[in-house]
Amino acid sequence: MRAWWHQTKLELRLTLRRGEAVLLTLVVPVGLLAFFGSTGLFGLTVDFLVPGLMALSIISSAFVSLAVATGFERKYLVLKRLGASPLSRSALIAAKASAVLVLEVLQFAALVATARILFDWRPAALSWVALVAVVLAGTLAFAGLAMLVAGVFRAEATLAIANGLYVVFLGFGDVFIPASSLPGRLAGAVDLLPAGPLAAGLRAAFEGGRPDWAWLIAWAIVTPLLAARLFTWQER
Amino acid sequence: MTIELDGVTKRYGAHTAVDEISLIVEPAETYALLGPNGAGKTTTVEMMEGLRVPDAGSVRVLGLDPIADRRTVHSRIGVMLQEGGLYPGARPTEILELFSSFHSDPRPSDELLALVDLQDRARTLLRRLSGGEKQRLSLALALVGRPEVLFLDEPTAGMDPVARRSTWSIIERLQGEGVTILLTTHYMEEAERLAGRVGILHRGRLIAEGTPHDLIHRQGSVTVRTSAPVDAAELGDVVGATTRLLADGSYLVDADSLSPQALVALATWLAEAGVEVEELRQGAAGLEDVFLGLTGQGDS
Repeated sequence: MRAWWHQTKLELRLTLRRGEAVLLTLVVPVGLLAFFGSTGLFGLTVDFLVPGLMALSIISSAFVSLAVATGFERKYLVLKRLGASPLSRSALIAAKASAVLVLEVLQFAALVATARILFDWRPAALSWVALVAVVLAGTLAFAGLAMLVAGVFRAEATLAIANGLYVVFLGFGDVFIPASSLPGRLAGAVDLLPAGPLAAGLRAAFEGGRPDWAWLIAWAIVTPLLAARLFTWQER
Repeated sequence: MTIELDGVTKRYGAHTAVDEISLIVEPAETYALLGPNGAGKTTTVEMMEGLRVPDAGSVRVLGLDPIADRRTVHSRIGVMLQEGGLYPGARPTEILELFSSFHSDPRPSDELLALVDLQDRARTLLRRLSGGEKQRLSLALALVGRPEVLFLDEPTAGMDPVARRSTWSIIERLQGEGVTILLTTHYMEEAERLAGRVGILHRGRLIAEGTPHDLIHRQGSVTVRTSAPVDAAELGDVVGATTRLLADGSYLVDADSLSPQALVALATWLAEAGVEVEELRQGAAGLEDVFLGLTGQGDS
């Protein structure tokens, strides 16, 4: 327990020390909310933006930041060194998961506070159960993808892939560009990627409705399983 | 015994990195693995540390299997990797604090920082430390859990002579406390000074083992220093041994055994060659000559 707690603290501290991680996880989502919320550009409403940007927050912390950090820990043999310490693998994974969840809570708090202060926003009919369930499933799906990429590719490739996919999810994730505004074929692709179902699930939770689970749950099962199978602790 | 390897083999694809190595390290002993790059030193150590799984043979550390009993083994050993292993974005104090949380009775961080002389750098980001400073921090991390066995893979590589000497005195202090130490090195001076026994690895095989003294004074080798150069091959042919010219201008005649008659024959040949014998001594000049002779590194 003590090892897990200290590992979580250090993971979180190192993330917040990386400028680009803070930019990606906190500044960008809040900035997009403030900009589009106040200009009303493209007719985007705060009700649409908040859940979408929560999805983007999950992608930035559970996927991009986790993948890049883990990739470089693998490159610099930190994972190998931890493997020769009494810290168990499960404690290490639990610590990484805890650090991501704490970061997400910070991100959500920043988004909701911004929406409340700038736009006096209140969710219509929030379902807490659905919200927590969708956040956990989305986190699992993206963290699994992060560990898959970080555990298979070299750190430099992981950095490129993570940032590339971030841009893809930003554009085609129903995050703040509505899937309905994309051409038909692309809109169909949005539903298959993990980002689209996550954003839709979060919107459903804020409207008190039932999220459409199937794809999100599938991603949340497949990516961690693939990561567990293919992850190697050291670059070769 | 503290470490026991029995017929341990490790292959990477078609390449056999470690080939049926058997060795024993007794409690409180310091054992040095010597060998050229690629000889299999790191792979051997990493199998003892539970970081690699042998393809054949058995590894026991403190009587335990480092893979199956990894938690117990890892709480009783200290590990210093050859390189890396440190978060570049963290500070020494933070990493020490983290590793302290892995052990039930950790050594205090400030004591460790003082030991490796890093108090002034305690709050500096790791990426700003020099290579030698990182090595010293790695050594400190290996000592956090008051290990019974210490694995040091090239502990002083990249250190300046001052840091190297102070690292040696830290290791000697640990020897005094009864810690069993397994180290790899390619500094002969380091092995001669620190190790009770030395194993020489070459192409994945353990080709010689013994105390530095025994290896240097193997029966059969003779060091000859002459006033003028002689033909090394002819000198060896006199007693049917291989002979090498050493860096300091003396010759090492390396036979399995040399009889008194053979020594007389050598002296006679030298007299007939018309050179003065400045030194005729049984044994090699140092571990380096033994090492070069066994691994054939000095032939080219």
